[in-house]
Amino acid sequence: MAVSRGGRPATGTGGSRRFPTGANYAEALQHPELCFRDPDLRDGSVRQSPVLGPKAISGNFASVFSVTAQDGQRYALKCFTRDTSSIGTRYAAISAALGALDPGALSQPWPVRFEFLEQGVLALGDWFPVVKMAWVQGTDLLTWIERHRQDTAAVRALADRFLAVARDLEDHGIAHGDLQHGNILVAADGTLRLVDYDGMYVPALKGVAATENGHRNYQSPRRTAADFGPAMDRFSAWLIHLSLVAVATDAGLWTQLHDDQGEYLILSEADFTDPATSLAWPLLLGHPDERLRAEAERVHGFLGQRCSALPRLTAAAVPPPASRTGQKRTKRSPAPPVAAGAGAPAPAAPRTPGTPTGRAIPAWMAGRVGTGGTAVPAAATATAGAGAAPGSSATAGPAVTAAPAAVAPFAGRRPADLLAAATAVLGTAAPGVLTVTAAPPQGFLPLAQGAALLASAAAIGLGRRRRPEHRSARRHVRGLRLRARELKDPAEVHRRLEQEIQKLDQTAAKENQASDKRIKSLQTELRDGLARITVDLNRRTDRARKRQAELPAREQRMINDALAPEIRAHIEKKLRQTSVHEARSLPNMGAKTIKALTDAGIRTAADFTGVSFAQGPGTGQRAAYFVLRSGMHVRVPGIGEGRATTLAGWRQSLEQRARVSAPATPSGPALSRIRSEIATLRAQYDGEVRQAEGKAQQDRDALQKRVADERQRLTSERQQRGVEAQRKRADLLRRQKQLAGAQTERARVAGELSAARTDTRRTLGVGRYLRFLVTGR
Amino acid sequence: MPYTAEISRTNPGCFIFLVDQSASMSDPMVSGERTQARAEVVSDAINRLLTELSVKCAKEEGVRDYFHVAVIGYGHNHVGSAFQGALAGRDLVPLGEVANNPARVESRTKKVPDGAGGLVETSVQFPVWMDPVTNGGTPMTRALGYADSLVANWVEAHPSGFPPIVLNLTDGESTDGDPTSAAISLASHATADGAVLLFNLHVSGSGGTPVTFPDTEEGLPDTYARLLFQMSSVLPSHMRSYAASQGHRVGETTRGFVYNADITSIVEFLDIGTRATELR
Repeated sequence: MAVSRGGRPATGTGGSRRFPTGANYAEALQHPELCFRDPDLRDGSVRQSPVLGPKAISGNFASVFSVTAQDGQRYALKCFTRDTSSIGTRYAAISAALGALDPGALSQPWPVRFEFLEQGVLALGDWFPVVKMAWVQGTDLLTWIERHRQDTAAVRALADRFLAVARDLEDHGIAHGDLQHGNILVAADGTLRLVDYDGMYVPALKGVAATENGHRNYQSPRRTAADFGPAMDRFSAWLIHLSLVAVATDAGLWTQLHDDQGEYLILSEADFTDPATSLAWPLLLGHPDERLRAEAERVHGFLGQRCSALPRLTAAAVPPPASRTGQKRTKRSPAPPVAAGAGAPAPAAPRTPGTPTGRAIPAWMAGRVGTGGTAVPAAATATAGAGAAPGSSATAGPAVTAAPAAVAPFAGRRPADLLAAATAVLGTAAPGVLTVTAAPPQGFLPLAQGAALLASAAAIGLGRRRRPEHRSARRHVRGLRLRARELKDPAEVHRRLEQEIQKLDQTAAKENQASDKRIKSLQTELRDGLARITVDLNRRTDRARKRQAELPAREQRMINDALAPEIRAHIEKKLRQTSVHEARSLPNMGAKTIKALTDAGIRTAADFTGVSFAQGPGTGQRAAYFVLRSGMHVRVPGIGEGRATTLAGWRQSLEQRARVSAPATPSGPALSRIRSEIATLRAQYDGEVRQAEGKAQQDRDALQKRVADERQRLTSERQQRGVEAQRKRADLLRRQKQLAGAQTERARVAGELSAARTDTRRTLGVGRYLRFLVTGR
Repeated sequence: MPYTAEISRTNPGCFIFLVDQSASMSDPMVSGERTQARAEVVSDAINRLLTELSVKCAKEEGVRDYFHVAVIGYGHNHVGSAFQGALAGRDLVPLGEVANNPARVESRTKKVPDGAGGLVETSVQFPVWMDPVTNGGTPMTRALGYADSLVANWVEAHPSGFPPIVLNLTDGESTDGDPTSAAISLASHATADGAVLLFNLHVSGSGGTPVTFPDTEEGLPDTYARLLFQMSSVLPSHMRSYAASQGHRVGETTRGFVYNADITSIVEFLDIGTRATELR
């Protein structure tokens, strides 16, 4: 890793300059021989897109191009499109810090070699810096999970690897700054590589400002530029680890929470900013897996915390999964009963009962099906493997252990039995009674009696069949018949059961997929629904808010309007109080002039509003006219342009003075009227806004409840389906296993079947039932 | 905070270009060192913008549909798609499809610095989606109405997304009445993230200094420019920050209006993936 210096400092001096755009670079790179100085690049070939020339991979701050040098080495060339401050010094520090890492001490070779070229590319007639990095062969995290999500062990291993990378970074006081799926690549051997070091923090950058805040779907909403430091990755590290653990625990979560076009794993920005409306959190926090739940709870708890306050992601912080620590578990709890009680013949019997076995005919059946002979021990093995109670007889098949030893006789009469008895008795007696009380036509009695007897027999038959003893005996016989049929051709039955199991699995998978999709679409539905409510709310409140904002100006206007007449009256009053005689103090204003004025009707300053002038006929002199309040223009003898101007000025200054002393606020009642009118309007607009907001909140709550309820229903249905499928599957597997030892078993089942039939006829026959109806025994 | 919605394939953005194709667009204007017809300047701008958007949204597997793009021409008796070639007649097209289907790729000669202080003539590939067309009047009001219906459908389908951006490229001489009310109506559509953004690029022969993102109409050379300025939306705060980082002087009232200058840089204003950050 090296940073080439030389040439003039292009960046880092604080002044911003216009950087080329991605398309500018793509155009420049059409001619590597002109735009590069570096020999590898100058003679290299730039990877092309199908249509648009040099192929870019763009982010918000840069476009990356692929250049293959003549020696075959492929490089990623990062060209910056935004002037991120002091790129050069930053990369120098990062290069030094990463170069100083001891590769042997790292969990895996995650750092990628790079070179910072100050004069990297010539574009728009100027040199711009580039970062030249060896091309990393790898799959980005998102694509990798898409491909491997069903491989639980691989996903779990990746979670561990990621944890180790996070530990490496923390141990060296380094933080990547933008941990996200695009910057984490999985190499062919499953180890991780980190790329894009633009936002990286190394200890030498302490105190320097951040250039970016990372990907929105990976960062705490509370992260700010001030968090630039060794702890800034913690939220994203926990988040990515949690996502991997979730997928490893339950691959269905990926289908439920990840959108195939989404730029996130299973949680995104909205889940951090508005966890209350999130559908993802309830799924994670309520997940049946304890370890997943615990980690989800931790990360959920980080949402309100400052980034710097978060703990580092460490192995110790995560409780170890049960499956990876089998030995410890054995120590803690006594050995499972299966292992202890299975007995001699089956040392290799599966440890966990109900574990799905292979799809092909199991090994124990090979050579046994249809050959007869040593079938009994095999049956015993299967029995032990299927988890029968310790010590159960090796010769007894599971169906037998489950069946009643003998058919139980009738016991305990119920209302239904009494009803059957009553119906039978009444029915039998009814025709006779009717014949006695009424007068039926001839030949009625024999016919009716026959029908009545039939009805009574039916009542008794029905009553008998509805007895629990009878039902259970019939179930038993049915089960034995099924077994007998199965045992006729065990291989065929095995195949059929196999198909049934497959069909069951397929159906379950299909149903799960459909409900997963629905859960995912619920998220979109919720997001869009909430947005629509907001749009509607904004539309409703927009007018009210605008008017509200105009209220102060409106109030002022009303005050001015109310004041105007008061001011006018005040001025009028003052002018009226000033007699024209006072004008005598003005220069060149004698008693004669004043008299002429009063003669013309101008006694006070209020009697005229101004003067105007007109060109007099003949003379070059202008004649002065006084404008009276009536609007009339009058000439006052002896007053020419000069005196008129003086008088107009006098009046003007009087008015000015009066205006100053005029009231600044309207009279009390007027003012309070205005104030109350404004207050009413304000309250009205407030009310409109509040009402709209209240309605919006109701709509939001209703939507959220509907979506949450449906999510809840889907999740619990999914769980029920899981339990049900598991039960059916176990049943089918059990029947499959029972096929072992077919020959002996067949004879035994046939014997048992006939015994059961006889027994049922004898113990639960019609005669017995009649006796039971009568005696209760 | 408005104008902060994520732009992604699950929350795509919408870009509508309105291109004046009237007869007056055949008038020449000075652009850089040479004189070009306004229509040519505008079609070059559109083709560059589409290239820019495509590169901006390019990832390893190709150009992602972060945006859906329409190019609507308006001129003689016609308001409708101005795409040529495979996309002809289509309104909003996902960006990946746009990137893969230019009408043709031209080879243009260009003088570029040779790195040793001189200039050298080279040919560069230039994708073309639309050619300059000039004919008849300027039905700008109708064009804004056309955009209005596209936008209305878009916000209905994407209520939580980044609001549509409409960029009108014109010489401003509307012949079907004052476009102001059509512009106001267009900009009144909104998603939860904010109202539609209407920007204008004014190409004019009136001369005067080129203006980029002004905050007042003072100093604009003619009434057309002032009208278009008034129609333009105020730049959202993070876009202001980017404009500032590109060396423009911006304030609270800076509008998305450009007079006789380059507007391709507007693509850089769009945040994809990362949060809209206030740059410095």
